[in-house]
Amino acid sequence: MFSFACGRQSFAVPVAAIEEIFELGDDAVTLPRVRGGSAARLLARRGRAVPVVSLGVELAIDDGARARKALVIRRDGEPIAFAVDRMLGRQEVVVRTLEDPLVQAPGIAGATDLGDGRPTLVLDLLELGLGVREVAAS
Amino acid sequence: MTKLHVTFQLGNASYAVPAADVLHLESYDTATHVPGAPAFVAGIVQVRGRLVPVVDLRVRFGLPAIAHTIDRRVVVVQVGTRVAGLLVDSAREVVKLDPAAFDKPPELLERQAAGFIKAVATVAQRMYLLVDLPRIIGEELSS
Repeated sequence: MFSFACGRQSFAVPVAAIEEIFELGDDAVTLPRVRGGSAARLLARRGRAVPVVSLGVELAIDDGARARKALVIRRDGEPIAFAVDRMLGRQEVVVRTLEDPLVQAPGIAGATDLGDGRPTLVLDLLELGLGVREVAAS
Repeated sequence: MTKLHVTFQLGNASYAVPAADVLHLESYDTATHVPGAPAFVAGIVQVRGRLVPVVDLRVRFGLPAIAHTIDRRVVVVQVGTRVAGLLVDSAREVVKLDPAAFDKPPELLERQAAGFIKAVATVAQRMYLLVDLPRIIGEELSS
């Protein structure tokens, strides 16, 4: 798992889901947001335009202004970057699913313990930033 | 025949749940917030190796939030196969209550409390509100 901070909370994602992690500059351009959906920006990366979704905004944690790192996943062959505050590390952990319906939400794959005795949420980034694709397709 | 009930406080009211439904009481520091969960879910906590969702009863009951105090407790309850925690202002007492002492709540209360209160018992000038656990932890979510 890669762990990272977003707002005041830490999160984890499976290493296999992440294609690349890079430093986020301020060269991303803001996209017109005509149809709503996820607030995304666009960044030129390896010769192609990659949408950048602020995870803080997507999860309604903060405004994403402190994001300095981007995690790239690939959905249906298309790269999507998720902006997070900072990386915390990489560790081997056991993921437990959240079975109770009270805490089942899109993008929440389960929880793990990074060693502080507190549950850390494991995210399924494939389920997040879905608004981006709709905007790109329309 | 009396039955043991765990009582807890929320604001100036005392509430009761059958002790048979309570697994344990935990002190409360903070919960891991779960984005996308209902607003009344404070988050998840790890208690005795188990991941437990915590319902903030103040939010659930429409009461104003309070500053954190060391008295706050999580009442961990089991409803069928589900286990959940109820975040309350304080929980100290276990009392014996006679099921016959419970009355149906006044209609006004029933409407105002959206069915979260099942019955009211008055024992020695003290009122205990018996909560409907399945409703509080969102039985409609189970299906």
